[in-house]
Amino acid sequence: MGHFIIRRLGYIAILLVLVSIVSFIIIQLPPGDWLSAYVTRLRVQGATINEEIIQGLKRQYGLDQPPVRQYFTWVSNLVQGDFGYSFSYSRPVKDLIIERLPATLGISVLTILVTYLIAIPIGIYSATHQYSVGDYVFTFLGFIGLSVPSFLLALILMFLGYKYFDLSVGGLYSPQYIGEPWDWDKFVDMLWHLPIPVLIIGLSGTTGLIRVLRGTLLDEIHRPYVDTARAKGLRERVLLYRYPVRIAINPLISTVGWLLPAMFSGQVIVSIVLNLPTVGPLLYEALRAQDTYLAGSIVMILSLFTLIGTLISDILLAIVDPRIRIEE
Amino acid sequence: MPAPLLSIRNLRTYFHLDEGVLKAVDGVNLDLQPGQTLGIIGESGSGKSVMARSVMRLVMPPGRIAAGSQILLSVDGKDPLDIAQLPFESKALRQIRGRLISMIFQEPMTSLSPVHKVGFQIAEAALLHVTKDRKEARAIALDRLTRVGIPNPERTLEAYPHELSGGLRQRVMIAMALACRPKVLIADEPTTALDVTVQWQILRLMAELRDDFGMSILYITHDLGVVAQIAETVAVMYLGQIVETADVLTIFEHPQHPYTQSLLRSIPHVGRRSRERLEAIAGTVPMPINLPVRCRFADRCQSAFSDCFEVAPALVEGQPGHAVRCFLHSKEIEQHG
Ligand SMILES: Nc1ncnc2c1ncn2[C@@H]1O[C@H](COP(=O)(O)OP(=O)(O)OP(=O)(O)O)[C@@H](O)[C@H]1O
Ligand SMILES: [Mg+2]
Repeated sequence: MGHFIIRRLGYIAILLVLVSIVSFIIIQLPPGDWLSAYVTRLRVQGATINEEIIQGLKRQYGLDQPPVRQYFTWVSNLVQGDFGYSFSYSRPVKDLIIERLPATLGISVLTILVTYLIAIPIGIYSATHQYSVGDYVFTFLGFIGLSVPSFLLALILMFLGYKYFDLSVGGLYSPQYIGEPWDWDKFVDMLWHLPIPVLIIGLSGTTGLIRVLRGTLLDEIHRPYVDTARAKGLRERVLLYRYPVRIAINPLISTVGWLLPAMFSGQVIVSIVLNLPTVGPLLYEALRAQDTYLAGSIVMILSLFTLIGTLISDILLAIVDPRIRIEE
Repeated sequence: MPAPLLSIRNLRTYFHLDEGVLKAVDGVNLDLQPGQTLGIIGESGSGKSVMARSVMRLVMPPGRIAAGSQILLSVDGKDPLDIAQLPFESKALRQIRGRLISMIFQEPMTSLSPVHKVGFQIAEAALLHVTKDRKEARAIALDRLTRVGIPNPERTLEAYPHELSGGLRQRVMIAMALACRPKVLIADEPTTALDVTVQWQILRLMAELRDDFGMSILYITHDLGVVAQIAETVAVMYLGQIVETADVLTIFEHPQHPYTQSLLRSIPHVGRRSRERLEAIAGTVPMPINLPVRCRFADRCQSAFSDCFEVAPALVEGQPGHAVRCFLHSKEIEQHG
């Protein structure tokens, strides 16, 4: 196991290098760059900008260097924990990300927990009550959940929340708490703002998980080992949870690591609509503005999460399922 | 004769399908004496498994045991208990499963849970019925693994099924079935998935254990050679009914039903010249849906005559202990009601 983890960490390092190259190229790919867009914008507003100022700005941001140089500067700084400077925010990238990372991680982890908490019981119920009214209702709701786009759902829930629950929707807390230090009231206020984003971000994952669990469990319930257990004289309920459910849930539990990156990408649009202070909208804006270092750093962090998540999944899978052997 | 341990009376197990009622088991009577091995033989699809599963109440919807069926179990001279009448989730039924009647299934690969250790799966049965103490249950598991001749039983306790060969897995299944010293062991083709040498080892083991534990065995197979090895009495099944039953010698020496006779002709003999072809029974077993009331074997029978296509023959005991369902031997007609 130890060897396996070390080797996988090595792969992760190699992959991160590749990701950094690819993302740097892709971010640079569209015609123009942040500076020329910036200059055009200033000129439109009537400012006079001469060549000298432009050259000055270029030097300041390192844009006068050839791209390869720029890349190496960025990467070597990254390794030392310096994420570079955001053109559009005129602030260090690190500060921008650190500001938003707790909310992003918090919402993601909470969403994953809620997803499992809802999906597992419903999946088990649907499989054990196949073709019952309840099963049909959940199937129907599931299709709606899968087919309604999340931004639309966000708008609908915002409207309902505003109209009937008197919630100041959007954001993670009410306007009066913005910029205030944390206290109990602000925390409670935040709790009130969490359900809508968590539900929306988790919905498609939840319905997907219900489908998967229902399907696997329906298969497992009819396997011969279930008859063996029944023939021993086990109670139906004990038998259900000890054997088929245990086996059907294994892959869900062990793939939890894959959910984290899915959560990040799933929440971009929702975060924009709901005005949540997460990393998603930041990435979106950075890509639009060709804010190279900001976009690149976020992509790198997301990739790191993805790779670590996959590693955790693989380890969990080997722990819960004895049939899976990790070759040393 | 002592009272039978297990007495199956007019067992009918039907599957209620969209296409109609599939009569997988249709009026079976069987008696299993204490310490006896009864072989059930028949081609694929004749209803052997459904019958065995009915006894354990393992038949799931759309399958149902029809009203009027009786599965009487009488242990130690107590009043017989009708398993067919017990509610599916009743305590009484759970007390029978695994404690009085155990079952071994055909597929040793898929019949064990892949994610639980062998020791746990055996001890679980003991924990349900004979002890509350985990140590003791483990000791029982270890004892049974030793009894079924598993090399290195201590280590096997900690093994997962996929780490064992097919033969060992089937031994584990047997060990599990024996955990609570059941009175009846139902074995549904336990050796079919194994290769021939292992098959004979398992058979010999089961015969030994039957005598050691003093239990009765209901042994299901489609292999007459296997029946000859282990059973004292044989029941031949065809399309959900018993067509002939007798002691094993009579079945081999004086088979009377044309179906039994053709089954016998289809097994290879030592010394048979290789050019001589094995005689397969013509045709296949049909699905027992909407069967006309007449002899069920008539279409495939070489000796069939007009009566066979018009009325159904009854199972008639011509000689003591030898019953046949065929107009060649008795003109008695089955009463349907
Ligand atoms: N769950 C089920 N649903 C519908 N029909 C079934 C079911 N189980 C068995 N049958 C039908 O019942 C009949 C008897 O099947 P059964 O499995 O008892 O045969 P078998 O004698 O055990 O054959 P084999 O030697 O192949 O195991 C077959 O026609 C089969 O199609
Ligand atoms: Mg069968």
